[in-house]
Amino acid sequence: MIRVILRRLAFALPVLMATSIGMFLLGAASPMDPARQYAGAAAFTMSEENLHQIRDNWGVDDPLHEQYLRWAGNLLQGDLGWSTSRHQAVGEVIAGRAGWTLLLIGLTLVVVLIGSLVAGTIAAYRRGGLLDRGVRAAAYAVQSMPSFWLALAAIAVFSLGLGWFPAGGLTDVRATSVTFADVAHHLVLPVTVLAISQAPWFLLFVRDSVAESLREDHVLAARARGLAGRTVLFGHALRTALLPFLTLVGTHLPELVGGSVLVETVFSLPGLGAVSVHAALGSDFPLLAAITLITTAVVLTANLFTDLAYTAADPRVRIDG
Amino acid sequence: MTDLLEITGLTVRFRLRDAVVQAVTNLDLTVRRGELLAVVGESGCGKSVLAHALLGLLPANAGVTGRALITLPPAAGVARTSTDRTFVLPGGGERPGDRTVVLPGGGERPGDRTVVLPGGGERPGDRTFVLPGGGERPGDRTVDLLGCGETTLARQIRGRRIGLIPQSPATALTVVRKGRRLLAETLKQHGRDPRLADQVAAEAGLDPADLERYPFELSGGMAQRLCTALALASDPELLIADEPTSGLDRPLVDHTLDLLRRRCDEGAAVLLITHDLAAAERVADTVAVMYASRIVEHRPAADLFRAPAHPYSQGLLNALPDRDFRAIPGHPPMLTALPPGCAFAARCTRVTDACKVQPAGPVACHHPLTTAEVPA
Amino acid sequence: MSLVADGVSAGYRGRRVLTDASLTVEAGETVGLRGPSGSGKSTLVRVLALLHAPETGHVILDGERITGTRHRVPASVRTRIGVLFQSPRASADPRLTLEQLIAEPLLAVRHPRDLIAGRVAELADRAGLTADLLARRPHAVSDGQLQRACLARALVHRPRHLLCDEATTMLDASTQALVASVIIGEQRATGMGVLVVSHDPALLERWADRVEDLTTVTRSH
Repeated sequence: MIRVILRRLAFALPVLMATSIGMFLLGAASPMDPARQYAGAAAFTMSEENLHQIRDNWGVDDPLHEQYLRWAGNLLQGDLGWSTSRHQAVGEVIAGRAGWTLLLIGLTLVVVLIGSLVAGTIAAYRRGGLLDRGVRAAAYAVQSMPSFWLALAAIAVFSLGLGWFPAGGLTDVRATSVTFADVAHHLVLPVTVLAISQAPWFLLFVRDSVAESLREDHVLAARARGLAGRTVLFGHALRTALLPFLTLVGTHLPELVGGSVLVETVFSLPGLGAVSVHAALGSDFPLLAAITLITTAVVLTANLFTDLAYTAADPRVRIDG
Repeated sequence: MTDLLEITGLTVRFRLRDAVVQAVTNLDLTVRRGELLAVVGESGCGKSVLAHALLGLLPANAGVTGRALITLPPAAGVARTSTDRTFVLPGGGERPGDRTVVLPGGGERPGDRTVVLPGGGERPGDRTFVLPGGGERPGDRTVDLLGCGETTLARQIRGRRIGLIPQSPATALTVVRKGRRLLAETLKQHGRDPRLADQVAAEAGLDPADLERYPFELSGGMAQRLCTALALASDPELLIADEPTSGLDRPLVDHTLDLLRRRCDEGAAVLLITHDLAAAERVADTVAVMYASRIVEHRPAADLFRAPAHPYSQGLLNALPDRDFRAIPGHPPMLTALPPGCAFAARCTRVTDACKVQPAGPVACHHPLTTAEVPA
Repeated sequence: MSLVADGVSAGYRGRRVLTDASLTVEAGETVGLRGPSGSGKSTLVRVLALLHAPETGHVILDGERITGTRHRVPASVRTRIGVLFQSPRASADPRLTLEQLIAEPLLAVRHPRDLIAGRVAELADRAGLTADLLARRPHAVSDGQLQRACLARALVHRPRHLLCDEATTMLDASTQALVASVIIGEQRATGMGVLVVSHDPALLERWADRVEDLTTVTRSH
């Protein structure tokens, strides 16, 4: 297993480089001017000389490969650079915000997994019945709705209409400290919206996979032996039907991250997602590069964990690395 | 011997998108305790469907009519504790060579025998024991397998009264579970000690060491033996073996068949579903030949193999390599388009107009071969 | 014209199942092969069919030593050997009709299209497959009918050697007899050599000219 992890780490390096270079190139193709974004409204009255001066300070007009190598060199020394859109050190930006994004994504993942497993299994058990059809229809419908639209709709109904939940932010505007209850209250809508927007995919997969496995030879044989319904379902049907589920969770993670960006923006949550939109609009390379690196690293690690979990769960599979 | 299973008018139809498959039509069969009945026919004639129908394992698009009455022992109290036949020692203490036996409980039944254990003549302390015969016991009840509902089937019938050795052992085992776990789980479900796994496996011919393997690590033969062990784990009264000889080499085929025969001799009933005529000939008491969803001949095995009455049975036997090795011309009708009269008429040399009407009886033929016509 | 396994040893991923096996099938003869399960009979068939590379030893086809397996062997050589496997379900592409199934090997070598239909009809007729069966897909036919289609497919290139790996084990007695009679008929017409692997001693005794036991075939010599 150690060998597998080491091999994955070695593989991770070129992936991280490739994604960061790709991000730089995309940014270079963007027509946005970081100096103008920094100046804001003053950009209209500022002289071209001043803007040029700002650009020079940041080195944003230098050739791309110079910028990249400079960034990479600083990175290796532990310096993530300066965020032009946030006017802060990138390290500070990330440290202050990454936790909330992780919280949002983590909670959502748990809700999605549990919800889709339960609903999908019940729908498969009563295949063709009213619940099954209802669940599938709802899943297809929700899958076609953009997550930010769902978020706005949720705000309209539950915040503005019913007043049950706050419309955004992480804590009450009047709060002076961060309490668990306050944060929890504020996270209900964002987590629910993100979970609902991501769940259909998992739910449909679980439902199809379990429905098929209930007709498989080994499940029929288990029933024929007189094993209790619960034993057959959990010990035989689910055990084999959900094996691919593990890997799919890992590969679906980037979608979840993408969805979180939109949800954070709509709900004004102080996470990395909201910040990255702003950074993209302002061609804030250092911050974007750091966010890209972190996201890539998280996805690679998640995939490694799911692959290891798969080998543990399925005795037929020996990981190749 | 009494009837254990009585099937009347069993019909199974599958509703497909654009057709109806008639898998089993108007089937009548009885199986007695101690009887090994072989259901013989080519693949695709509906034999396996019979097994699944009895256990309530058919898919949702199946329509089943008819009755299948199974005799169950009295509901409470008198459960069989063990299959070991141990005899209690006679008075006077242990003697070298004596064996211990535990007898099943239950009320007296016709056919029961009383035995005085050897002791060199009656001695104070000797006790008489009633060995179980095959007759009905007071308190026995009958249950219709096709009408009793899923709960009864799951709790009382499957595994407990009826054991199934499935058709394809390789796919019938859950890949993520070791053999020992599968066996222990089944033993526990039926109220037996999970530690008996080794013993049950050995009885089926499987090396207990192989229980540590996963099903995908077992060869075809080993998987078959594990499936047999799983079916025997609960000591069922009716064993259904669905094509238990496919893909096995001769020694294992013989071993499996002999195991089934032994079970029969010990009082169980066995329904052997197979296309292998040699296997049927080896161990069967009675044979039912199936063709195009119906039973066309149902007779004692010895009679059928010596002098088959239905032209299809005759054709089948003639196709064997140690007889004529000659195929029956033509091919069977599709189960979605069965003709109104005798389904074999298109291939039969004895066909007349009378065959446009569906024949019935233990030999379903209007012009059966008589004993005189069959060559010696 | 013979098919020879010369001192063949083979296995899978480090596990050897066949050691030093030597077997010859001459033109026009039917050789039976028996042996306990797991002894390597199927592996030997796969090596002879040029589907599996032996670790040591060679396959000698019509006097010519064959190196390489599968696509590394030219089609003109590969089509000289036909194979019939135990499970017709596993050997048939469920998307193809029986007619397409039988025609597939001809299409693969770009046989002239106008001649394909005739050849397929000829073989289907010999295998006892009627026109309505040819239009069906595997799920709509029985195992016996499907194996007959696989037999027609195996014979479509007029192979000089036919390998049958437990090809009739899953079939009822009548279909088994039919498959055997079709093969024997083809053998009489083309002088094909046939290897029959089976557990059934009665079948081997009736059908094969001589019967080999895998245990003797693998003794080092």
